Amino acid sequence: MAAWNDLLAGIGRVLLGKEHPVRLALACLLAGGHLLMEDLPGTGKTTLAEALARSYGLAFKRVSFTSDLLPADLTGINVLDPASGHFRFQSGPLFSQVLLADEINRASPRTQSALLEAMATGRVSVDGISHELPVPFMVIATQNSLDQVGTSPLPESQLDRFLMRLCLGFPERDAERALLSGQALDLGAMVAAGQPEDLLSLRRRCRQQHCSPALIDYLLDLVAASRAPDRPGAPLSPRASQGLLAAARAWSLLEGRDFVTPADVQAVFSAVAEHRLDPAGGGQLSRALLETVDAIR
Amino acid sequence: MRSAEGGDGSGGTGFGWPGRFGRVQQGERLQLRLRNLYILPTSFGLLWLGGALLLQLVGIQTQRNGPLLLSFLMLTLQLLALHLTHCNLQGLELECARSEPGFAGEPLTYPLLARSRHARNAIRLRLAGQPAAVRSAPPRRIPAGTSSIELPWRCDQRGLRAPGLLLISTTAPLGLFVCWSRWAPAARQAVIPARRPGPVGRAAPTGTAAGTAEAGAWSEGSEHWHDLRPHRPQESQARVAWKALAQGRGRLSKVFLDPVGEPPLLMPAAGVEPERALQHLAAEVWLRSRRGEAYGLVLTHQRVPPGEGRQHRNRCLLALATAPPRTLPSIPG
Amino acid sequence: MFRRPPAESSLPPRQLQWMAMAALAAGSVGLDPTWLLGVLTLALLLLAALKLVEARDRGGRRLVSLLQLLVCGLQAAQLPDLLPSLVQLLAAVLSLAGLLQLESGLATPWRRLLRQSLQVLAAALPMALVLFLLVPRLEPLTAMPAGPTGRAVTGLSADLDPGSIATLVDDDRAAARVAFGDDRPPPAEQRYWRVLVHERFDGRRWQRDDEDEELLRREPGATEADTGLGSTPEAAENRDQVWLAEPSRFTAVPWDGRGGSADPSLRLKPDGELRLLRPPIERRSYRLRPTAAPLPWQRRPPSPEVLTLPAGTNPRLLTLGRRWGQLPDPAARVAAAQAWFQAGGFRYDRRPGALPERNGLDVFLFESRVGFCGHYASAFSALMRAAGVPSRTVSGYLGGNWVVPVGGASYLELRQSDAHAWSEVWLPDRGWLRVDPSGWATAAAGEGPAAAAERADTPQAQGGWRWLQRQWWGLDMAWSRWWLGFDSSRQEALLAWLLGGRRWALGLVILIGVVLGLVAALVPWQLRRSRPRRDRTARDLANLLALLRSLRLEPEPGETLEALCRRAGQAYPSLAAPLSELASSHAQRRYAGPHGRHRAAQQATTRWRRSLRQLKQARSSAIRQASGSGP
Repeated sequence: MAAWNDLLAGIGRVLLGKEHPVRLALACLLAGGHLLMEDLPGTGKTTLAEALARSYGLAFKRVSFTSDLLPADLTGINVLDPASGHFRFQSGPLFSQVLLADEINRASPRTQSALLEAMATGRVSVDGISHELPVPFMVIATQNSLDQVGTSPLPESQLDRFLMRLCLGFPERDAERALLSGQALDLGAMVAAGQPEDLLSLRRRCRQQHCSPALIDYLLDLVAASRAPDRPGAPLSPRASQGLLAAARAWSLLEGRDFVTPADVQAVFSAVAEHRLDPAGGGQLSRALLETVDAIR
Repeated sequence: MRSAEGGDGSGGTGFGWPGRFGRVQQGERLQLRLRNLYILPTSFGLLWLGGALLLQLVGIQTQRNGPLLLSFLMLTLQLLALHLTHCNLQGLELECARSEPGFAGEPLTYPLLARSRHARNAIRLRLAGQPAAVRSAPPRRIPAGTSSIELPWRCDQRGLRAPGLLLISTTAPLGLFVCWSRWAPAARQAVIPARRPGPVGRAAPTGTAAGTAEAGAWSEGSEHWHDLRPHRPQESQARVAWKALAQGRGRLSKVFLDPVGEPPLLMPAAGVEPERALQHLAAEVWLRSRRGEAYGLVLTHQRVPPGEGRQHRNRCLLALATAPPRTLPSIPG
Repeated sequence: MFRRPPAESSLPPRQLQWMAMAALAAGSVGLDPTWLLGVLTLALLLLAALKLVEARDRGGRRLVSLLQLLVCGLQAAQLPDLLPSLVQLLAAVLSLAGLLQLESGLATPWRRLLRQSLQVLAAALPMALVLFLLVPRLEPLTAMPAGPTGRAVTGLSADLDPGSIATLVDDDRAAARVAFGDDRPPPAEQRYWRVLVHERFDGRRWQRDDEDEELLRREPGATEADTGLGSTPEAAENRDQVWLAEPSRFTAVPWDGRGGSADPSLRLKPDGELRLLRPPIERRSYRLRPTAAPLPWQRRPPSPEVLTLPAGTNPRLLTLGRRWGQLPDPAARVAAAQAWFQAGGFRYDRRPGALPERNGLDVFLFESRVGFCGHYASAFSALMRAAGVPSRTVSGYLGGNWVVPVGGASYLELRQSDAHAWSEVWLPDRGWLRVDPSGWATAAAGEGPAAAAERADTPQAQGGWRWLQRQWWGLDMAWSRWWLGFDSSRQEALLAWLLGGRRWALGLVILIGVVLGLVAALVPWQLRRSRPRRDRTARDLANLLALLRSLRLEPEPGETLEALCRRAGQAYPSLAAPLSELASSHAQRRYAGPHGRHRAAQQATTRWRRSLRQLKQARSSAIRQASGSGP
């Protein structure tokens, strides 16, 4: 598993002191999910997104979501070609492999839903003609959790489409000291761990990670606990449990095992479940859930 | 509330004995025990007894041990089945769970929580007064521990409704006896008026007088096409009005507007039959929440301030479900 | 319009019930379709099969299982032998499994179903046995109609006509088997097993009474003396005989002429034939008990028929017999005949050639003087009649082969080649007396009755097939002795032993037995259900947790084993290494996939054991340190 460690160390040198979120983001990439990051500006969201894209040499695009951003600005439009007199599809920034949707909550609901639909279906439809998005395709959306004035926060039902929500938070004192003393590596100096095809084969391997009945039971118990009648927060949906399993599989692959254990589930649980349990939550509900289910079995 | 005995289902083909006999238990919880379980042989059990007696006769007549032993075996199996069938239900705990609101006239699920120390096979849970397709649900297995059960049912009237009489029965393991209990779960499920698109009224933000829907301000945005203006090079190509370009009117940009100001407050439309108005409101709320729009709701008994999201939608729909009948606000002209 | 109702969607597949059907069909092979019970069984089987094809709901499928059990019981009534019984047991288990499957859902695997049905059977069996052993048996309500006699079977023939047989064919097929209560064979000179008694003589052949005339039903006025086989007190020596007779043409079955029985289907004719009122084309089994006193047939005065000799046949025989008739003492006449035969140079031969139609016995006695048992018995009985001594011929079996199989009961094996004929004479003071004139002839080596008796107990080298057959028959014999032997007389003995004279307590005893059986069946059932099944990994894990608990380390809510072990390792650094090893081997055992499972799982288990040992050692030292450093 040297490749992982190299890769994680590489990203870690770009993004100092964030091993756990980086690992989670990489798991999200391996599991084939989309990532939502909620943080203050300047905490390294963009850097992380770009580092992820570079790790497997994926085509990276960045769109700043503003209130006047149109769906067509994302998907692309049919442009009249004056020479031939025909319309020609000019693809928008969605046609990339890693798309950073910066401050997604600033865009109008219509634009948001165009993006989310593309995330769910893997294709966009312009003037009745559908266009396939490239594979792999990952959206990393960021949300500014403080500055909510004049924004349209993602509705709960749309939050479900993101596999994980991460909060990078402030770096620790030592990490920030290292940052200030210029020890952080430049993004351009990062070495890719492989080609996009390598990522696809890793995703296949990820899906083959073994899940024993005991593990599935543990996962089901967690989900069932979230659906108990007197528990605060929204119950976890079947899509949430699927995502939880996929993320735990990716995590176990990162751990260098070929089977999943409850520890893997616990490691990803907060990132996968919290935004579904409580859109404004900071992790309390998912931690409380983990404590209700016996993990030693 | 609809009477359990009133529907066409109880005492119909699917129920047999258990539909008619035994005291109906009330409350949100039911623990099955000796006092509230009833057991009787099935018709197959009676046939089985007849078969055992026939073999007894054959054994006596031929003076052979085989049929005698088999006949005694069948009799003792019957005795055993009496207890096993009873044990299959005894100790099972059922409890009403938190139910999700559902629409009238559409399939609803009434959630229950089952608690059992061991797995139980072939338990039938049937609601009286439900259509045959719902009634003939296959027997289900209840695993050890706590598990959730979803009972399918339909209800045609809105309001907080209980599903009526629930019949819990089993014939496992041999089908010789049927053991049952009758329970009217007390927890009521919110049944929202059926969704029927139609006119809805709008209340002014102050909520006293009725206003028109089109009132309100707009600001530049991306929702509604408003106007054209000359295209500036730094603007996205997506804004170019290609039609105008093709017509030779030059490069023009589309201008979009977003509605600004207070989201609409929905209320029953005037001049529509009250129940029907509620149905239109349910359809409207559903549609707006699908579109991610903000809205509020004004009813006589409740006023839901504008908002959006699932919880808001549920609050509105719940308010529609629980609106007191016949006291809906009457709207002048 | 009649329309079939739609099939119930959640019904399990039919395979299991078809398998039961196949077992029942296999078990029907030995049934006799001309007997009422056989017809009934086959009709029910057919009905069950048709029902299974068309059944579309649970009720119909249940009915199939019930019909299958009924067919099973009917088969058990007709085919009680070991092999059919095993097939019937299989069919019963399968049909019960089919019934269980109807209730336990689609996903239950067959093996689990079969195990469940065996469990249910095992739970019900004690109670069933209590009832079976203790509930008093009833007499048959009406006599069963006799079975057919149409099937061609080999064996003894109704007429003894030795003159028409040129060569005695060696038929090696089985005739009957008998086992004895004490597992010892009877002495060789007592192994005369009588079957048919021939009293009517037409000058050439000896005939017996027709089967039609027999007393199939007990006449209203008939007494015990007529049948002669009242229930006799248990004899001092335990020489119960369990007989298994192969199919034959006659209801008459082999016996030693001395046994008694309480079996109501056994009837003793006045001439000493034992008849079993069952279809002779089945394999029949019956049980005889030796009696000390002679049976009535031995004392019954002869009818005039046993002195008749047709006039004008065999004149020389007649002359010789009349000469002996002048001796006053009938016993002296028999002795004179014996002396005459022994001095006459008679030779025993299985291929004597046919005798002429007229005066055949004269030719045999005075010219050829070569013949087999039939010739001697026939000629001697005719001579005795001429001498005025009531006599008749008896055909049956002589000798038999004593077989001691590896498993099961030892038994005496009678084959058709053991068929024999002898004479019986009536002496006024001694009753009917067996005389075997074949023994008076000189026999070539390996022939004759003496040789038959000698041959009986010497082990014979006959192929592996015969050996296998004998082993199986030994098991079959043990089964018959045990299973068929439990009849109402046995039950009486059991009840007498259990209750003494207090028969009124029988109901109470049965009730207590059934209740105890029910409790014994239900308590383990409940216990097993209330305690979840734990595998080895779970037990090992529980041990580890108990160990950690003894170090005052409880798992926190939601904590994984890895985290717990890490925490424990921080608290007790000396335990850290084995604990982390334990956590990882547990994860391997519990959560790893099946590929390469065997080796990996074994390695993980070994690793677990080793680490646990290390942990225990480290723990004891840690505790010592803690107590040493403590206050």
